[in-house]
Amino acid sequence: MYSVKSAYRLCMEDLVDTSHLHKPGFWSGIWKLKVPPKIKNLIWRMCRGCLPTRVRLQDKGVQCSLHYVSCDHPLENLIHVFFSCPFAQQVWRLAGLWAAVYHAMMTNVAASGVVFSLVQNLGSDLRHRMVTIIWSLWKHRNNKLWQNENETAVVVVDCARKLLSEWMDANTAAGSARHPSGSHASVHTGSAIPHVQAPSIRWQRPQLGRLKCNINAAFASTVNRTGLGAVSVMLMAHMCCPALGVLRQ
Amino acid sequence: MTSVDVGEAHGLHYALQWLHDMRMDNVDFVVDSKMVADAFNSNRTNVTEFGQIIAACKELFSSSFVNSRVEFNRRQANEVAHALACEATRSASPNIYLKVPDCIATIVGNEML
Repeated sequence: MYSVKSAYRLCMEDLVDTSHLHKPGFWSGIWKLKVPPKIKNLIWRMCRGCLPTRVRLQDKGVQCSLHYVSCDHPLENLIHVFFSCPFAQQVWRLAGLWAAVYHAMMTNVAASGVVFSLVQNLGSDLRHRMVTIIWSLWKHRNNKLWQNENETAVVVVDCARKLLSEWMDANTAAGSARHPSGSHASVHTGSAIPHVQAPSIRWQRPQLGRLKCNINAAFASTVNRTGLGAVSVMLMAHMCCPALGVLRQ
Repeated sequence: MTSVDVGEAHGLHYALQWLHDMRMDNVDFVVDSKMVADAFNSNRTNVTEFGQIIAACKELFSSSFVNSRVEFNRRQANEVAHALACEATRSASPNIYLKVPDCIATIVGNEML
């Protein structure tokens, strides 16, 4: 069957020879991650070796020092920034991923290999945490380099945790709000949004000792009337005592 | 029959009067109209009919309620009030129920879970 995708495939693979650009790796695993797109993009650039670390900059002819700003290690390359720097190790320990990262580092030489192996072997939650930590480490490096901010390992881990949880909340809530029926959600949101049971929006009890008064209006155009409804609920001890009112205009 | 925002604003005003008559304090008023909640909580004056009702609400609120607030909630969290308002369009006169009426009994039961 013809599709834009198949035409693209044909152009890229059969008409033009791009095989010298292929880099083997577990790319599909990276694109399937349920994390903010900016993180996926960073991981992709990292695995392609495009991140402007100082070693990479010198390769490309930029005159700059090779020192890593965060710990004064003489060579700022990917493997050092993300995995072997003592600061990075501390971050991985705090995130509870050091054992996995260490194992991956022992079995792979290149930074991209380490990431591919981690993405392949970790469970879904840990995988998402791992890539977000990588993003956070790069952010830490940039903050230090450009703003001269010194962050602690705790801050780096916390920043990652916050980013990921906020993104997940926003995506599940947005998904359920756009498709309140729920039945279409899987069709439209497809792969972009994780299939987590969305927290449904529902009525909350008032705090102890407070009265809650819900108000709404309804409009009946056929009889030219507006109806108003107000419901009050008071929470006393652990019992809800509803008092109700209907008002008409 | 009124426009939607005016109707919602009237709803808030009636509710304020009702709870004021009962001398209630510490009340969370919840509306599902963002327009009403925002207008109520802003200082801007608005000379339209809607603005006048909101101004009346503010006056009643500030003179009669202690430790209370008006907040916005999504419609999905306001189902009981909605069902009651629909019922109200069919009722002949204003009513105050002290017992849960049949039209909302199921929804109240579910929300209290």
